Amino acid sequence: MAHAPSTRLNLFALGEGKIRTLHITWFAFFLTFFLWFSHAPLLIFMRESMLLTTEQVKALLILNVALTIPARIVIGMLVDRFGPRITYGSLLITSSVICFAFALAQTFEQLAIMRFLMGFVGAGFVIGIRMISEWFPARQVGIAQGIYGGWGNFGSAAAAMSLPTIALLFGGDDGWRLAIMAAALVAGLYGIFYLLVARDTPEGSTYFKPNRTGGLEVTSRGDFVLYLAMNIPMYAALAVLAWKLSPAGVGLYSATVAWGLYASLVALFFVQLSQIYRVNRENLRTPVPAMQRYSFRQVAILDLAYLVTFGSELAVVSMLPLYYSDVFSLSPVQAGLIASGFAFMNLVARPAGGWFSDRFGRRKTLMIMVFGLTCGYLLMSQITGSWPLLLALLATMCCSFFVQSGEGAVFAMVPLIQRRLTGQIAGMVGAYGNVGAVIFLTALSFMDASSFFLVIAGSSAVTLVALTFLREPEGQMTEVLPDGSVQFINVT
Amino acid sequence: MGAAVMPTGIPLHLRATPQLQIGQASSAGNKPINEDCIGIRVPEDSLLASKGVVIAIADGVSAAEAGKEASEACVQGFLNDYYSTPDDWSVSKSAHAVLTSLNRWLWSTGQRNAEEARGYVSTLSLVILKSATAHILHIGDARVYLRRHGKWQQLTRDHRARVGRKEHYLARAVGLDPVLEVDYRAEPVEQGDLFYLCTDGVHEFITPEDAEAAIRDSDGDLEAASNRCLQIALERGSGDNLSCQFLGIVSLPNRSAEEVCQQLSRLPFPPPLQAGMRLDGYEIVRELHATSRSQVYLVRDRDSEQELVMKTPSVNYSDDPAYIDRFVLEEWIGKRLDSPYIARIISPPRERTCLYYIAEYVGGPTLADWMRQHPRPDIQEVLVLIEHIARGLHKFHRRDCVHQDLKPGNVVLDPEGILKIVDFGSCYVAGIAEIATVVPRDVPLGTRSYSAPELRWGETPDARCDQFSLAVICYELLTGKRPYAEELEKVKEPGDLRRLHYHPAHAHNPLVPPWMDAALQRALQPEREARYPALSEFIHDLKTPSRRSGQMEWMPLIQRSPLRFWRGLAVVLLVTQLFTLILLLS
Repeated sequence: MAHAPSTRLNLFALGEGKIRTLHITWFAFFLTFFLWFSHAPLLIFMRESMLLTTEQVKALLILNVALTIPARIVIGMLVDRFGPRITYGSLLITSSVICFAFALAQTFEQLAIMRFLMGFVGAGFVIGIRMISEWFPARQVGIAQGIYGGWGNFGSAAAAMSLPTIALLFGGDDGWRLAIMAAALVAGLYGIFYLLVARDTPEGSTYFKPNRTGGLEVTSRGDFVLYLAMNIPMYAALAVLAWKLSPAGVGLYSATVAWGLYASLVALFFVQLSQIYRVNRENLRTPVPAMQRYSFRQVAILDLAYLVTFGSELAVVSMLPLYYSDVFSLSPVQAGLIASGFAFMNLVARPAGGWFSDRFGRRKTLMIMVFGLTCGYLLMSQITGSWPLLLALLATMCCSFFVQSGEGAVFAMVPLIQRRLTGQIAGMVGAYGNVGAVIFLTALSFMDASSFFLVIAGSSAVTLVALTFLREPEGQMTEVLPDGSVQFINVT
Repeated sequence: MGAAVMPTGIPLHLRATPQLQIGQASSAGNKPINEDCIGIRVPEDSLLASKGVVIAIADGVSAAEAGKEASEACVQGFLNDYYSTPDDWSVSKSAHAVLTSLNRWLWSTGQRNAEEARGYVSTLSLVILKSATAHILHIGDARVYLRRHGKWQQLTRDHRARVGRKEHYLARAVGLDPVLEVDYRAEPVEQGDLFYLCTDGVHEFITPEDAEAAIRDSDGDLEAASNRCLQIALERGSGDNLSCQFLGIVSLPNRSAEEVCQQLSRLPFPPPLQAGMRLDGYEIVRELHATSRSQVYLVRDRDSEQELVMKTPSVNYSDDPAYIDRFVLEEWIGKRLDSPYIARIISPPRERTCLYYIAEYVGGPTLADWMRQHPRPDIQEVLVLIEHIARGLHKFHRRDCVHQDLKPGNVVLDPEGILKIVDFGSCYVAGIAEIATVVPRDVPLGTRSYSAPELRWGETPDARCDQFSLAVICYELLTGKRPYAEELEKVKEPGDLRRLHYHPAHAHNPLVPPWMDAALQRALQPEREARYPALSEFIHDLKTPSRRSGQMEWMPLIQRSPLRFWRGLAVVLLVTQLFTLILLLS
């Protein structure tokens, strides 16, 4: 036992179980992101070899993020039932198989179905968050989750940087297929490795009966209504997607199937309503103790903030390689490299967002970041082929810095709303990131890229207004006096 | 800043007062002396929460000369002694202990006075109202009735044996026999319940319905109603002593969740602490251990310069009342365990400004570390260590507690070589579990590789759960392996117990003698009923070479290892089948 207390993590202390767990888990997340966005930098090849229309390419982009919204709920339940080790391992192995199938697809329909299924892999984030919070004490869990999220998200940048080159190395029309298969193989093998090596909890840790899971608890009637209302956009996003793929849009399936999908979405919505009601029945009847009350408005605002930050990141990362190659007539490798500049910032920007929040206040930080990304997207909407490439790259990276710092700032605020519900609040906020991706990519399917950036900028401006209603989290603050003694200050 | 002196009794958030209506009366009636005795005690605050309200009625047996002394001894003795039992004992354990000693005393007094033909014999019926449960204890022929929703119900059975048509005598009473059998039942109480206790001089002449009429006539005044009951019984020709008591539940001890939560969140959670920081006069030396549930720091007391351990709750749970409840109880139970084999909890001399508790710093390695350093310890050495833990556990069990989470990581060696149990965070305290609370409690499920399997599906813990964990530790010390390997961790429901097969320890370490293996096997039985009834028996068998367990070597293979037997049989059959096949083909 007995080491000096370290608020920062020693990432090289591989002898410690928690550090090992962090490393193997962020890499698992990294691989899920790598697979999830493996198609984006290769679309240029795919478009040529499979003769895809622009419409079809855009449909693929949306399909990729669609299933993630409901998948998050399913994955959450699987983690409850089987634990993070089995869930992560199986997810990697399953998605490796799907990814193989995607690489072998011969028609647009096959591509579309496999991409749709790949949406599942995007829900991996939830698993690792659970793993990290089991392993790390409270004072380190923030930074550990920052590393997990930030380095894992970097997977999409790694895909953009490496896959086009790998495809070229294999060469020929089918190079892109081999590149994706190679990635899938690595992920599948790693899934097995994860199953063998990972452990769900530290050795010899005590179990407690888990509290009820399911819907999020809200603590007043008004909040209950707001919570129900906040679920509508998720279903609306899925409905728009179903419409986009129906004969009215790309025509992936018949009108009958489309109506079936609408009906099942409505049914699903009501199932969720009843679940939410069941969890909250007691709270609606008897008042909740002050210690456990919180304002759901705070959650709703963070939902919006994550929608424009992470949602726009997912959307932009999907379309950027193709966009650069079209606007600046670049080769796939160059386009991939430059586009990776966006996700590249993840390594530092996300943790930086958390750090700024601790230092300068959470609300202020978040507002500055959202303001920054509004300007960033406005700037990106102005990019044309006549811009020097370097300037375009700078604009991209600058914008992405604000986007990812904003994500960090959102998650710095999440645990302070209501500790005992942190997992569920994080789940809902995260789901809104995916809702954002579906919304923005659907928007993209109707318009050109610069209007698309303008739409994101507009949404961010609206979010900025909403953020003015956000309250700085209150509560007990402590201060360490110069002589080292700890003092309590009531902040109310 | 909230006041922060920790109360000595039951934690504040568990205290609550019921609203009661009480009335009682007793008279000699047509007899020269009153050999009945009645008594009620409604204590304050902490005792009320831990022990509850006692209402007692006793009828000294007239055939015995000293009936009056006997009934008085029963009621007064019980009322005094019951409230002196430890506050972590359950009602049944406390009452059982008090009644046993009362009975012995009355019986032996009666024996001493045998030549004077003075028997000290009495009936005794008790209702103990703790939290939202009434515990009814009954010996003899007085009666306890309960009126709920307008219906009467007799809760006791008269311990009478009939001889002839009218004659009967008392079959059971306190002081009659050295062994006392007590009828015990626990009854959940509802608001509006009315308990009615009376001796045979009353219940042979008036029905509970008559008693209810008496309450109506007295406008609900229970004291007046009691007197009225005695009067009616007397008018109807009762020739015996007359006594009756009423206990009405106006409202149960009920506190809103809001109140309880406020009580629990009185003290804020401390922030993450670092070396050099000072909190309430304790200087943080270094962090010893941190998990997602708590942090443990080594601290130095400003005044005494003593090195101590400070445990602080993790901010992950700052709004979880169930967690805080458990944290507070952890200190509470620790303070009640005084043993050299259990780490001492220290009451801080200065006011606390936040939630933490202070314990003795044991210093040495945990048993888990020790095991890594000593992969093959001497068997005698193992026995000494196991006995240390058993002594600590014994203290827990004496306080009606079950540790529930015994594992090598929770046992620490001090510089003198004494093993101390350090963590009480999962303790089950019977006396506390009886107190109902509006805030749902945390249910500890133990550590998968060490805790008894039955805890996983929520069976009420008892000492045999700790026996199992201790045996796992013993097995691991001896062999370096855990008895059921990974299988124990996978057990989720009672049906899974079938998959647990004991592998003898001597298979891993040939030095383990057969009697130790036999003792381990019994203590490690997946079914709790098959383990030793008492921890001391396990320790005894572990240490004592016995011829009986030596027989194990002579057991047929089918009993020693059914699996190997059937596997072997299958192989033999396969070989003969093949042989037959070859014969047929050739």
